[in-house]
Amino acid sequence: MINYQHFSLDNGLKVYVHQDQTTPVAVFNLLYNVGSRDEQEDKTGFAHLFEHLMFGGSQNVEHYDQHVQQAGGENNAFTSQDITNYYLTLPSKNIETAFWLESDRMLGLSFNPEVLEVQRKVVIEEFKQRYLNQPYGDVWLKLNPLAFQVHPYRWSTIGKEISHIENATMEDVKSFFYKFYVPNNAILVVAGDVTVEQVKKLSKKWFGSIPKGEVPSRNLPREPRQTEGRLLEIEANVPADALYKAYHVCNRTSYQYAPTDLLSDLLGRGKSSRLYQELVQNKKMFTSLSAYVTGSADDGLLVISGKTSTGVALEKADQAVNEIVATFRENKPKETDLQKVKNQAESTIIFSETELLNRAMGLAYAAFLGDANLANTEQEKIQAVTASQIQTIAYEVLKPQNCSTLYYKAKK
Amino acid sequence: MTDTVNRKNPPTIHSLSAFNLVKPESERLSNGICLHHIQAGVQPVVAIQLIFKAGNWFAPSKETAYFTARLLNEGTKNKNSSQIAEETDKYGAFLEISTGNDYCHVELYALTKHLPPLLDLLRELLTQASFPEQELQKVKDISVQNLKVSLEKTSFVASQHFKAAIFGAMHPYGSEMTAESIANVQRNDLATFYQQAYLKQPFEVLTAGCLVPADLQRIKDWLSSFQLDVQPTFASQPPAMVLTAKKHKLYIEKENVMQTSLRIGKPLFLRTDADYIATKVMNEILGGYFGSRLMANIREDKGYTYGISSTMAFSKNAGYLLIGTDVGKEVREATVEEIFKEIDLLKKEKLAKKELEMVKNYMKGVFVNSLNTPFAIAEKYRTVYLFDLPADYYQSYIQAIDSVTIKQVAEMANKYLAGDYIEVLVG
Repeated sequence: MINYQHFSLDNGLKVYVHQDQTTPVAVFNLLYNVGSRDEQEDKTGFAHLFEHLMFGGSQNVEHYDQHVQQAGGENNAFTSQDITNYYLTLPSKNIETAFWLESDRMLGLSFNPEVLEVQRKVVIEEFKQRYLNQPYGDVWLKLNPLAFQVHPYRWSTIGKEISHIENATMEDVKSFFYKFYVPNNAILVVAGDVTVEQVKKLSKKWFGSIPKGEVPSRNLPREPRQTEGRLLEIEANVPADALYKAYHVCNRTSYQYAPTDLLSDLLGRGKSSRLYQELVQNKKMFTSLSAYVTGSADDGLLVISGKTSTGVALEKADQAVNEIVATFRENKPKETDLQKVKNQAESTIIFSETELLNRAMGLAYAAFLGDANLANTEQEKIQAVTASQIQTIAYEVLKPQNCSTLYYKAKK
Repeated sequence: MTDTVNRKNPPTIHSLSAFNLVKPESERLSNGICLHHIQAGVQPVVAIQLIFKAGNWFAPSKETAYFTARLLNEGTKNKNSSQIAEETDKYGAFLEISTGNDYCHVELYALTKHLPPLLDLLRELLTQASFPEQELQKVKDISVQNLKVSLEKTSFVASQHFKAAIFGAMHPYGSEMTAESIANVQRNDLATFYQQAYLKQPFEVLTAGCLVPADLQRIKDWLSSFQLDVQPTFASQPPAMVLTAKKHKLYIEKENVMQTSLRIGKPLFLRTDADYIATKVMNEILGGYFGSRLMANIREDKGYTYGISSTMAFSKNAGYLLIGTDVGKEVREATVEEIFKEIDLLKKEKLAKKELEMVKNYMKGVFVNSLNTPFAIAEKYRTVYLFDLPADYYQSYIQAIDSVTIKQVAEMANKYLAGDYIEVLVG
């Protein structure tokens, strides 16, 4: 259970406070409601590039990181398809430093052209290091556009291609900032060794005078129902063939999310899951095989992925997966199996909550989804799922015509 | 709206001067097992970590150490691999078994309410593992494939060559598995090593979490039931080895890759050395954190890389310094040059007071920030026990950082950054 209190500032900034006085540490988590799904098709990778620029100096602060380090803090950020999230952990007596730094960059960046120049290069090296110079690193660059044809989830957060990042201009940067980096498009969570009064005072002092902005209403195209199975084959310099299958599923806030999540666990979470037991342990057709859901704000994917054993053709391996998947459409899961994945989910949530940072991020993400208390009701929702609900979802989701399959073949 | 705050004036920063770290309750049980318990946290969870002297150093080969540990949960006298996986997952527990240069760590993370059946299972794995031939074959096949994937990564290949160069390929810390050496692993060698390293040796145990006294007692009773030889014996143990730094430069070209992985480093002292803290501060300045000199130069100024770091790595019987980064192929030599420029600067130029103060504040803050879970606290004590550091080592860690002077940093730079380096470039 994550306790919290909530208030808003006049400029629309939503603030949540989670108190935990057990250690003299505080977390400051600032979530901006913007991700790669908000990008234009010809300027992808921008939300993430922008995240890098946020560290390149603001109106009154030249070196963001130095002040954090001076205060004994650590900070980082990540960009996803849905959000951009900035977070700091620091000794609680220095919490005001976080307010000063974060409010200053919400107020305005320095827009230094040299910073843009260098961060463009850094992001291009990140693109290479994580996506192009790794075996199977580009799989999402292939799988996303196969599964999504209309919705902006069809490009990855890093961007469609390097040239979009190379071509980013200062004008692009500025317009992105003024559009999305405004108090009424942000959620602040302050957690740890703080008091509500203190956070109220500091929020008003540092964020209160930042003007509200005009946030464009999000009007993303809905991905039409997939009516035919899709197959893409690619070849690359990898040592083993790999299979990826992506099925369209509901979004994170849907009442169907908890049963969908458990369905993916039954299929492929850990060594006791059905896919692993049948195809890695017994038939030895795969050397790894797992399943999970993306849990995104718009409708997402259930993904099954694995590497095949030497000498096993991808077509055969795919067939074997399809046969197991089909049994989930036809049969209710066994009660003991259902109880097992519920227990796994229960302990995952509790373990995650041992970390202060996870609690802060969980609250921020739930608030972004529309209700901070979702962070506390997830457990009940999972425990309430029935075997027939799972079968109903399986019947809908695991249809061959709802699936995009990628054969990632090793070049011979 | 007018701004009412003076944003030019940063809030006052308070430096940390002390931190009260939770102390463990330690007890040596009658069978020689040492139990350390960290009582912390509020969630009803527990981590139990068993540490066996069964890593590369104590084993006849790296393969023996790795596969013995890897097969612990792949079959016992009464349970097959599937039943063990089912039993672990049924209680939502996480069982992690890993080997390193010195030790094998068997870690169980569970909700306290499921403790009794999980302790029974764990005992079975640690006393009745049966090393089934067919599971060994499965695990070998998986390992060979994972190895092939790793060998496609320039970073992996560069690290392998670096370790071979610094330790020698025959040293337990320097040897690497190959597809061939994996194929040659024999079931009987694993069973024999299991007898020696797991069934007879007393091991160290760390537990952490929010336990009621009855649960802690349950764990003690459980540990007391292991029948061990109190006087451990080992078949073979290589002698501690003094590493010598000799210049070694290796470039392995790889076509069709976009980046070169660099690994540059040299031997250091052991973890118990009195120079550790001052050298740690020196290394932090060089490449230990986001604001380090290497990051400032090679990422933030030149944009050559997504990240660069300098780390001090320690095993029980060796230590080394390692600078690592992945850079665009075309700037690999320019990067090497800049790295050595930064090393030289640190040796020759006097450090500014402000920079030292910042790095100290950062190190102290990170230390305190990291201790917000029972598991993180246990991790610190693990370092204390495994490296034979003084019991109050982390109680006085903040004071130790504070005591480091500008002069000491310069001394450490000249003592440990001077001389020849091993340079490995792949890609």
